[in-house]
Amino acid sequence: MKVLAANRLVDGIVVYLSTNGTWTEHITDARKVSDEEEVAVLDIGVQAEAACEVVAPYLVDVASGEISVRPTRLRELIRENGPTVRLDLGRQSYQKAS
Amino acid sequence: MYVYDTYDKTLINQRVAEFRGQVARRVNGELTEDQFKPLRLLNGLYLQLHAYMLRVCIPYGVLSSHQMRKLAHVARRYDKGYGHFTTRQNIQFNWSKLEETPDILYELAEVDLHAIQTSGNVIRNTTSDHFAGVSNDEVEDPRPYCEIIRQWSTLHPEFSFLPRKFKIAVTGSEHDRAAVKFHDIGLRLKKGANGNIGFEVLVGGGQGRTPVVAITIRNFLPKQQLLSYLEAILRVYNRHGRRDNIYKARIKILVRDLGGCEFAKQVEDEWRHARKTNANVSFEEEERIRAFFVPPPYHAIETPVVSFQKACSEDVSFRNWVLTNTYDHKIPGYAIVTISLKPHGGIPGDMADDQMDIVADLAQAYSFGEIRVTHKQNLVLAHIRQEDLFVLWQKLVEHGMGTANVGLATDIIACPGLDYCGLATARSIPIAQRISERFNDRDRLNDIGKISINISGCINACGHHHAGNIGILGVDKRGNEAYQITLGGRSDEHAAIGQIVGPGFSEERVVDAVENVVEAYIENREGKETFIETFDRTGLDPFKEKLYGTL
Repeated sequence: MKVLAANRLVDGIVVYLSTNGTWTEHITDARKVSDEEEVAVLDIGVQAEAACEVVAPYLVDVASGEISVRPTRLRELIRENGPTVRLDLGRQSYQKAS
Repeated sequence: MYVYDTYDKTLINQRVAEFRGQVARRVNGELTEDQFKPLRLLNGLYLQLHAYMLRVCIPYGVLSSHQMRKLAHVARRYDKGYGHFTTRQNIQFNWSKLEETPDILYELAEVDLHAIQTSGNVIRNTTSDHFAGVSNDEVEDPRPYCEIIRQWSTLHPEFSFLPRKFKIAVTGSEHDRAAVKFHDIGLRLKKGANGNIGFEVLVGGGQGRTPVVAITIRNFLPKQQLLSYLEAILRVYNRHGRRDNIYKARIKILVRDLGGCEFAKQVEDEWRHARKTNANVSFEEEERIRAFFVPPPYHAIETPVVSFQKACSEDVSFRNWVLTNTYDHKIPGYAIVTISLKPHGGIPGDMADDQMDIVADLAQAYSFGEIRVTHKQNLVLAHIRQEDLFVLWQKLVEHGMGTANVGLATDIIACPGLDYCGLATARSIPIAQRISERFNDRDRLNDIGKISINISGCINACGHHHAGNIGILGVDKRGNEAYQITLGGRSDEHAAIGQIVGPGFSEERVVDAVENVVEAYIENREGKETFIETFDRTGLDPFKEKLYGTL
């Protein structure tokens, strides 16, 4: 299972293609992509880049439970949450606060 | 320090305006990302793991208090309240927004700072000895030549599309604090046979996936001929450097493939033409630039300074700091101070905005308003009166910058690694933090003595692991972080590339492995040998035995 990740053009923040076709900062809201959908979903990313919404879209491997979605690689886990050495920064900071 | 003239100011202001337009065109879709990416890189703007990262140039590591306050402002207003000083004497802001970058660059330009040529296949920021102009062992101050190179290399039309990035370092001392042998071109000021001063010219050094110690291609270059000779080197590289393979595009590969003698011959042949052009600066221009680097108005101070000696004898913490973080100054009664940006368990090179403001104030009050950034990710206040040292130290301690560890086991160099960098394959900072915590004992640090530990989070070697007495390279091993240890690296005048000690270690075990290496040193050292002296005598064997058991 995969999700489509990218950086938002104007501020570089990591975002994911959501189930409703918009871009979300929360991986839990991301659209899960099956092997068969990969090419079509990547094309959505290319179009979003052309439309100046995001940059550098690519598919990220995730492990998906009933309510959780978690990247399988450390790199993507850090990208999703924030630096492991600064828990006050990145998504992990406001997830923790909320 | 050098003050920008109308030409410099016009250039960077025009560049800000140009980039503002480019950003606007990218955001409104006139430019595609493929078209825009090389433009943003020309302005030091990278896309990293979490956001855009802006790398700001600090020419040869020299900053004014005024400039440091502006960096603090940028960190506070546009970023997340901190900056990261790099092994290239620059600073990086990790959370820049594309839309705000032109405003950041506009504000930086107000204090003569910019991000030009901090990325791309161009001549990057020329680096130098952080003790330039104040150390006892200097032949001549290298900073005027760094400034001449800066002016010559900025937007140089012939060298704006090199096969790969290009780094030049200049030192004025026999004892090399600028790591000139690990640069594409290293320049060492020296006295010639007739007493004239010139440069030893080294080429082909570098780290990355193919570490190489530079070779000397000219023992003595009259200093007036500097630019024409650099032009000849760059021209040979630009003509023959490989553009078909990014991993073989650095000048070190060309020097290796041609052979040092042939490369030197081609440079000399080219130089015969180049020196006839007007590339070299005139005597008048050299003197004009040199005038910006005249020593500040030092006081005549009677030595020994009694109040300083008294404070040293009465306060053991202060004495420890003086022993590790200060260095002899060429002027009696003064000292060079290194501010450690490696608090125990902290992030190497990171500095909070309020700390930047404090250092700016301290530099203004005690060091003629000048600050230097070192390639070891620390700061230097180069002109401190010995009688001011105690007060300065107290203020540094009060603001978390009084760590007494320069040159010791916790003064670790580390790249941002996988916590920030899009290229990294493993984390560097947490390893540095754990090593720092492991050795955080004053008696133990003193017992271990001088040692360098360098950590890189990938083969690109931004943490200079090849040059560390203990080098640690993080790699991805089937989805897990693993760390390869090298021993015996050094970046001084006896530059050497560290040797791989054996199989790598997991993230959990690497700090134990480093501790074992240090214990092997302590068990095998003779007399007052430093780590590197013991290693040079014994080689890898006792360290291998300690790490892996029987040989």
